[in-house]
Amino acid sequence: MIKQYLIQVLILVYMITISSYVVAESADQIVFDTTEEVLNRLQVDRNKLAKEPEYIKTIVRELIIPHMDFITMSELVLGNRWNELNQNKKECFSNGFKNLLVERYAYILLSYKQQNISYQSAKPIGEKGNVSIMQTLTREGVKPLIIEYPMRPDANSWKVIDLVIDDVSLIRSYRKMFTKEIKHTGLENFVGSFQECN
Amino acid sequence: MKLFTCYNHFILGNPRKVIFSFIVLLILSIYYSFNFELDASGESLVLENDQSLNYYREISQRYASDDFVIITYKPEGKLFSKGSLDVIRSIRDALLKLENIASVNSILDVPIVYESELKLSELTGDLMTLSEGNVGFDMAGREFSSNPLYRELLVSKEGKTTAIQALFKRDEEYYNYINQRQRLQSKKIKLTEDERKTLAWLNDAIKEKNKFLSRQREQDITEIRKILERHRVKGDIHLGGVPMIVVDMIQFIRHDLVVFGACVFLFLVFILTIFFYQLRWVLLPMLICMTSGLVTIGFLGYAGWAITVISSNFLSILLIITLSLTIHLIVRYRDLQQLNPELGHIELVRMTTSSMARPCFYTIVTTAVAFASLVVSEIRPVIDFGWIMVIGLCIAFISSFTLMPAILMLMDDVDLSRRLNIARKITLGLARLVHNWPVVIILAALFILGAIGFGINYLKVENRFINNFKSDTEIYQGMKIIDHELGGTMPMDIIIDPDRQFNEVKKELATEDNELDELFFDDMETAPALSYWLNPIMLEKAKQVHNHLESYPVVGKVTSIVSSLAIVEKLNGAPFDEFELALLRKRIPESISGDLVKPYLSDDSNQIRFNLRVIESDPELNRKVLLEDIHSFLINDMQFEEGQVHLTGMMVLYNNMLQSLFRSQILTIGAVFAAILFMFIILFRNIQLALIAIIPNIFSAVLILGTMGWLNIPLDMMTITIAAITIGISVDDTIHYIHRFQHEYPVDKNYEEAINRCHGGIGKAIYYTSIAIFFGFAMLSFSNFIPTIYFGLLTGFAMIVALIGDLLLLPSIILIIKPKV
Repeated sequence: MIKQYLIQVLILVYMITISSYVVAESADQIVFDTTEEVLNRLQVDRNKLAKEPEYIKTIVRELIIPHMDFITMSELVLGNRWNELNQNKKECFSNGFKNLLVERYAYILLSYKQQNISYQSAKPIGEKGNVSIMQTLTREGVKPLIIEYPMRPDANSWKVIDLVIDDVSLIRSYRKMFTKEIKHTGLENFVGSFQECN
Repeated sequence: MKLFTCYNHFILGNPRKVIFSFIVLLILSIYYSFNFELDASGESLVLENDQSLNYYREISQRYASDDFVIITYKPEGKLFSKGSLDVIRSIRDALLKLENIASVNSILDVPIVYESELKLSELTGDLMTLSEGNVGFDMAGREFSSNPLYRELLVSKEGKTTAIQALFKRDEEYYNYINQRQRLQSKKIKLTEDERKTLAWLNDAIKEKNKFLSRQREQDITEIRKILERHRVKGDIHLGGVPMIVVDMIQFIRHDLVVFGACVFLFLVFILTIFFYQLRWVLLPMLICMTSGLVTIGFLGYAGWAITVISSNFLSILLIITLSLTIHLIVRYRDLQQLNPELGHIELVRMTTSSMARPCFYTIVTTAVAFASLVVSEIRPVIDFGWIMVIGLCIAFISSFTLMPAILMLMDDVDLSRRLNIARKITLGLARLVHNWPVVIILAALFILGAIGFGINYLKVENRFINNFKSDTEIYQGMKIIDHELGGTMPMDIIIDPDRQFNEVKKELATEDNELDELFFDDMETAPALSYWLNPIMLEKAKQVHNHLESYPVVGKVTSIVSSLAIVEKLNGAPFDEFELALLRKRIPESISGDLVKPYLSDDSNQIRFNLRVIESDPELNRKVLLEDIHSFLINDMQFEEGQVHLTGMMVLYNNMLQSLFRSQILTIGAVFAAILFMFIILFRNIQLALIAIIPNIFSAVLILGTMGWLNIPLDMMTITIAAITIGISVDDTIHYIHRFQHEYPVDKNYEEAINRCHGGIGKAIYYTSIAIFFGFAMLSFSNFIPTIYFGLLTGFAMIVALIGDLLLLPSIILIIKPKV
């Protein structure tokens, strides 16, 4: 169940990120257009993915990751502690967090199954012109799933800064988990626990 | 003397009025005795505001009730076959028709998830079950042998026996009363007048409800047994579970009280006939015993005071004490008759009562003080037992010194039986032993004391319910199957709350003022509530706890969120992270959450519950050690804080009660002896005699407890009162002996002669009482209920030990020390 939802999320993240190159395009349009592209790519590479499931990580890194704002996501996930890190630590943590999410969620795309997707217009959030795009995934016999993509304008594009599924924020979930770990082990040790920071 | 003049005037002078008063009292007692009840509810076994019981109720309410019975079914053919499933269906449907059954869990109804090959995203409220007929027998077989929640709980390891769990309905009104009472009792400020009235009303209402619910549960078990009886031809069927154990124990106790009570009574008639050979000396003691018993029962019925498993012994003790009082009166009458052949019957009755009133009163006061000391114990049945005995002792004394002499006053003279007095020969024989070998007797007593007393080290405050029943009984066999094949009988819960640091983190997150939040998040709360348990780190810790609990050989099935997660992770294909877990909690269908999550995790996911079934019949089970070990593991190895961990459930409550019993009955034995010594000093007005008198009592208590230790007889609800009974009997004999000695010694200032006269007089009464009780209570060894057998044999043994202590050891010490009298 979780996998299915996250597939949709990743597809849509991809859709949003590639479409963000087209500044003139609205966030809603980006989501719609890129969904199709991700689904097509999965379809085209179906055989290769069946033989080499690891290949999905390449797809994720090529098509999705470059268009997510991991610096902002890292800042959000660490909260006030972000400013306690020096530049090097900020970068290594950001890379570590990115790799953690790729390792964790990339495979979920492999078990994608067709679902009906409907969209709602982007709505403004926060105070800096950010928007949230909402989509609803439906399948017979299963409670509809609502996914939101908070995005921020970034020069000529839009970048994803969080995923909110059924009102549960990925960033906030991780922030709570990390806060507990930092409380337990200390900020230095916590950041040091990421391979990228060693 | 003034008191005795009044007694002579009002009691001995008006025997008809006394008898008439007792007839009225007996009629009233019989009328009220119909209200007399045996209460076996959990409430009856602990203090009214016992915190562990309140916590247990709270946890049962929050997660899952353990008020259920288990039916085991082993079909002759295959379990997963149409015929066998039809039998299970028939039992289930019949159970569901019972008024007080809330639900039934069987292999027919539980969802087939683990082997379904469904994806997590395909989990909906409508899952396959055997009942729906959309599951193949092969798949069902695999599911019940591999699903972590079902295996060895619903179906045995071999796949031949299944369990059907029938949950009883919760009486909401009862729990409403309990909650209201708890709220009032936990108020820190002084209660208002209205609140005090409400509390009193609630106490009465709860008491009534307890009685009602006990009766109801008894009927439910009877109905369930009828259903099972109808299906028994189709396979091997047994019933088990805590409610059944409670009901069966009560039925055994009640049955033994009636059947063996009558047997003991008849046997005593027989023994008294042999002793006294005259009808009046047989019927009178039995009439007085009956009167004491009935009036006490009537009083308890009138006061609405239900007896518990522990205080159910009161009738036997009352019988012993009343019999002892009446035998002392008879023996004294006959001695006086022999010594003063010229005296008439009326004068003999007057002399008997006047000479025996003081020592008998002393024995009753001392015994009453000993029993009254129980009211300072921590547990309600022990307190009740103490009060019931104090009331019973007063009734026994009054009946013996009013009704018995009143009846005697109306009787004609009776000739002294010319039969050979064997008792006198035996007691005088004992006196000769004392004269000839006092040192040897003391040394022998010391040796016995050391050898048998060493057995006290092996005393166990432990018992297994299964050991209460003989191995050929249905209850024994059912419990054994549930214990060894279907996860264990006795439920227990381990609850772990968040630590202090968690609350700090929670506070920190709540108050964190992060500008980025305002920039990137909307007003909508998109953060899952901080959960202590629903994250990979703590779930890993939960897994370690779960695995550790499973590693105890005396623990059967362990279920927790770890078992549930193993199922959903299998469907998911991988473990979950915090984000997924938060989503899972939100997305999982309500019906599945009800089975997989809610019984093990609080709504805020901050409190976890591990449910254990303990193998009650395992000979290695030591509840106290098990609980201490689990607690130590959680605190020392898993590093949980003391305040986080709570062990609760029926097993914990039962262990608490046994340990409290041990503390109140055994560990305080030193204080009891100090109190008795104090009483002796007041009664005998002679410190030297008081110190000597305490020795045979210590001898009796040590011998009984040591014997129990050597014979591996555990101290439990029934046997733990034996020590109190032993001391009670021994103290009575000692008071009679010393009191008589204080009268006999001044006659010729000769210790040997005084001892001879004591043995020939009061010694006979002690002998008669001890032998009558010994043989009478030996009848209890024919019971099917093991505690009754222990009780009968140990009480008989206590009588003999007290006899030896008071007729051999006590006079030997007197002879050696030669105390000033």
